Amino acid sequence: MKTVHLTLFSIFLGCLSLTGIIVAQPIYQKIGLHDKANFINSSPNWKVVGNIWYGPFKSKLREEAGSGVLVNTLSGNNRAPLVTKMEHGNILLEFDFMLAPYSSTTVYLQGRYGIRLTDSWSENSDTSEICGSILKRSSFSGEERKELRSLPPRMNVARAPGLWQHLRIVFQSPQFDPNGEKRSNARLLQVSLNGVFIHEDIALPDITYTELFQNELNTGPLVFSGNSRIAFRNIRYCFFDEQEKDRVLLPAQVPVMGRTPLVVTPVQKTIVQRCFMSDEGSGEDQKMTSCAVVGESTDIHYGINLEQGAVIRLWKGEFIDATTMWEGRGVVQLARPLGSVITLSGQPLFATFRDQYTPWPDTMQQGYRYAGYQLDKQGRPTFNYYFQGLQFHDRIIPSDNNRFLTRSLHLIQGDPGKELWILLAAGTVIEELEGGLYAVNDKSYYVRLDKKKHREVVLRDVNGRKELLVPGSALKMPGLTWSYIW
Amino acid sequence: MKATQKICFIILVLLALQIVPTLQLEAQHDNHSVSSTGKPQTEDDFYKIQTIRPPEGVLLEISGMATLPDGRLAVCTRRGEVWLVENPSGTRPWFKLFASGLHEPLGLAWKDGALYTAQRAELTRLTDADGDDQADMFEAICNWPLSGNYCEYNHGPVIGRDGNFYINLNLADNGMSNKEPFYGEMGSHARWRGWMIRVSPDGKLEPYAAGLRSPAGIGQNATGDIFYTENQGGWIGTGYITHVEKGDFFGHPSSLKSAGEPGSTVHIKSTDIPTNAPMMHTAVRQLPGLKMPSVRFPHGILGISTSGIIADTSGAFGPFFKDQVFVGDEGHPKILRVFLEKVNGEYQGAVFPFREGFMSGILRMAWGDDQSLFVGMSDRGWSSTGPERWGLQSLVWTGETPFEIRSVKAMPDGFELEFTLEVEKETAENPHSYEISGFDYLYHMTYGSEVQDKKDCSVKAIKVAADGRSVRLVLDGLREGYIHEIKCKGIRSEKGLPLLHDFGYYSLNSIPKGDSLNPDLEGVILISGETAAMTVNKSEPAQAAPSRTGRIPAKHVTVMPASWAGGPDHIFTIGTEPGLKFDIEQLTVKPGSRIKLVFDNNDDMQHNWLLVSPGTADEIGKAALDLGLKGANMQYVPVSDKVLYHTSLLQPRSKEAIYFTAPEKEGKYPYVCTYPGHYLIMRGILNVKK
Repeated sequence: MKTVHLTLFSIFLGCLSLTGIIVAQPIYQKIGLHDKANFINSSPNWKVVGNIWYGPFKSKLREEAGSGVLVNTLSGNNRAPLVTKMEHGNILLEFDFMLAPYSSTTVYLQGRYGIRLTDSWSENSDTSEICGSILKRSSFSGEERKELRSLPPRMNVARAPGLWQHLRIVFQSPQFDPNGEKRSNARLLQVSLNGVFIHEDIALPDITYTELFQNELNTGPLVFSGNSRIAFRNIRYCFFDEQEKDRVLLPAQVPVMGRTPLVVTPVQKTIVQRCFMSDEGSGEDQKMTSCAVVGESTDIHYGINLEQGAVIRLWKGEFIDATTMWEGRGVVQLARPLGSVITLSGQPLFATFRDQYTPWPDTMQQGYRYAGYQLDKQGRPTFNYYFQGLQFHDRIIPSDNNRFLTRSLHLIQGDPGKELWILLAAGTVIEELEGGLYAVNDKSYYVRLDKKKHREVVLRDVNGRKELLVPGSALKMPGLTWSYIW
Repeated sequence: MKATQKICFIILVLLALQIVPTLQLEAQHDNHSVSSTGKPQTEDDFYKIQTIRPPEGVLLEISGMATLPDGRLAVCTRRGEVWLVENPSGTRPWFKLFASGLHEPLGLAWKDGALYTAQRAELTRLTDADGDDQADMFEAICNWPLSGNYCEYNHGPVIGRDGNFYINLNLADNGMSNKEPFYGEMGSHARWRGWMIRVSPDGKLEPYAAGLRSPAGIGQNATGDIFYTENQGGWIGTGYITHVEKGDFFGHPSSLKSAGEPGSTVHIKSTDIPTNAPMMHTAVRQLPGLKMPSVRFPHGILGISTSGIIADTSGAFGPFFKDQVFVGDEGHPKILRVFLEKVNGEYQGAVFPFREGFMSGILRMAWGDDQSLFVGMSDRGWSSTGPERWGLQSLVWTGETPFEIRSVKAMPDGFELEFTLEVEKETAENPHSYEISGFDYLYHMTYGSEVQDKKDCSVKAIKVAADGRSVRLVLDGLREGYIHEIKCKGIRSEKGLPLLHDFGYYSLNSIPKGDSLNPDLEGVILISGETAAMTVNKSEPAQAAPSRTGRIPAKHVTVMPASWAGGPDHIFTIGTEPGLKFDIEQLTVKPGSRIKLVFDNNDDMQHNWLLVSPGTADEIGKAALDLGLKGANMQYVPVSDKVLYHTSLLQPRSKEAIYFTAPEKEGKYPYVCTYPGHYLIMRGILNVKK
């Protein structure tokens, strides 16, 4: 029981760190990716490009010339690893990575201790490993090496192939006495994937990769294994000594009133919890006051702002922390999504306008009313809205083996006319990958539209922002369906 | 001189014996009725409390209750669940989860096969369409804006005789910000906050009345008129229950921010609000449209946080209380009783103690189909003085008749007191049996109010009705607009019993027109001026009216003594923590050390800080509670050698530094807040040792 609480607590901390409660910022150095100058004898399968598109399904791979992104193309069936010139002891390491479907690869600290970067999203993947697993051996060097074990993360917060993911590792190198005898094991002090703590304080008694190095030492390079398609960018790091640990570790905040957080967990049925949610984009103390979070026992969840008909959060992993709603007087009064959260634009679902250059409004136009929801036997809601004389039913359900959410909007009453538009996504960047499949906000999630409807989509650029819309005519039977994939 | 001393002594004795409602943790009711067997009668002899336990693991922080036509009890909770309790009065009630996921629903009402609740952002109808006892339709009937402040509670709905829904929209907590210096600690930060709204069955919102602050209760009297209860705070000198009619304004000016909005029914401007801190009876004369609450509850004496309202239309608590109204309290877990009458077209009346000893702060009440009253409790993080944080209990009349003041009615020249049992004529005709005085509270931005302008009334004539069930009192010194304290300590029943509760407070908002009591009628006892003066025209004890800053100087020094050349030996700053706690509960000093103590009341309620002699925290806390009406004026600091040092009664979010020398004698000296009831938990220890 205690372990469970500690786990929850850590997740809670992970989320706090996401909201920016970080004391002192470490000073980073970068591994430049203008070319491959920072790597030793790199093999041609490793290439520097400007941009890349994979997945999420077995889609064709595309790349764009340029610099800043390091990619393993597997060209010439070459699977050589990539080794940095930089060698490190204690290190805080951060980077973005993008997996191709079914990729399964490893990054090795000091060329010796592995963390698995695997596609744990695609179905029928040949590995059951969850992204972020640690390769671990449990015996000391000198003894016969035991079989490798893969230590899974606390929860699966991996994203779909083709999306940028973020890994943050705090690694402590093994220590040796003057005679070269090991005094202490290497340790992974913290590992967070996509903003969520997945490992804390894991001892690594022995090396897990033996091709380049046979012994433990206090320094070594970073090694990216070359056996699968993967891309990296923004590789940065910071060395630290014992005294500087606090600067690199994400801080352990004391939870509200020193108690165990009140974590809400769907057990069998879906949970719909009405709540306030924080409106991170709009400054201090701003809350969205008519929200619902909807959680599934299969760990796929969303948050919706009912005043806007807008899905505002998508996440996987644990459901919500309701501590600030229910502890004491509940002064903060916010439902805090756990797991790795994707924030959507939050702009209203509907708008009417004559001129196609009118920017999408930030708040719902006149004539809208949220009118409640109906639960099905599983406890999943169908939301009911009225907008300018029209009535809509909105249903968001997990699909494709709980890998993504599919949203169906049905017009129940009224004639949509020619001025009604529906917003599918908005953000800084929206890229069309193939017919009906779009990557939003620098590939942080996908929107996929029903194939029959995608011809009606308008992807427009208004004042430097991208908006993905469909006209009201797309609501024709059997309704409008699109998916949020991440 | 001697005579004066004697009177003073008598008064002191009377003060000491004065019956003030005790907190439920205290088992003794030594001044209460004595049965024929000689055992003192208690509330428990007449009204039994029974506890209904939910299944293991269910957190029943009750925030709303409704009885279904089939006798099941529906309760909703702070965490957004709705439970159906089958056979709630039985020994084995059965709980079934009807709905979950609501956002802090604060009321339940049943209408035409559906449950209605006000959750944070809307009025919602919950329907079980497929008959499996689980709600599947959650329809938003009416939506409203919010700023997102936790204090924006929505109490209700109550379904009026007109079929509409009535809901109270609580103000937001302004917190430590002082961002609204005129409105004070609570503010309206979204449209219609601080209003009672009326919602038609098709969802149309009508702003109904304004000036609400923290209106935790909404309900109906026996005839179905709409009433609400208010909590003491800024602009609200003391809690109350009041009748509400369309267009009423009850005084909290922050709600007037919406008064200019389309549909507003109140047209007072913030600039119309008097800022010279008038007494409430003056304020209602100065400001047309400001409504005097029907019945005000003296703060700290009859509760501190009024909440749920329920009328006994069936006489479930005895035929003598039929049609009276019962009001819960969320801070002191007790139920108060209210008698209402209409005088000159408006409701007014009296409030009496009724039943204490519940397990937690009371929020809601509902009648069962077997005449029992279900009492739903949750302190909701506001620290009630009850032993539990939440609970569900029932209250059942035993069938025995308590000897109580059934009602007090205003008369052109005094009051008529009605009793539940026949009174002993001799005691009822004795003017010494009564003590009556009038007082008021201020209308100002400051949190709460001290008792103002308290003056005694003298009894001029008494007439006991032929049936011995009522007493007509003619009084000198009645004042319109004042609350009148009516104590009948000397009254005995015909069987010689004292009253179970021998006092009440009548809000004399209006004096009825009509003839005075004819002194020539048979049975009228006229009281000579001298006797009257002897009984009630007393002077206050010398220490009872201290100056606000002065008190007894050595105990309350707010400037560093000139002799402390080297400054204090210790500077301590003590704040508060939610849950009625000091943030520092242990201090250690050497005997005789010079201490500067800063009490930083960072809480949102009033507190003081008293250092008392070892082992006397209970005694002093109880003595503060027993100060009654004088309590607020004395800042709840009892006159006692055992009080060593103290601060003033500090307003929320204010601080004060006091200077004192630690006792020379080693020991554990408790420090305690003596605001009514707080002493039970809000304490610390100053450890004096070499």
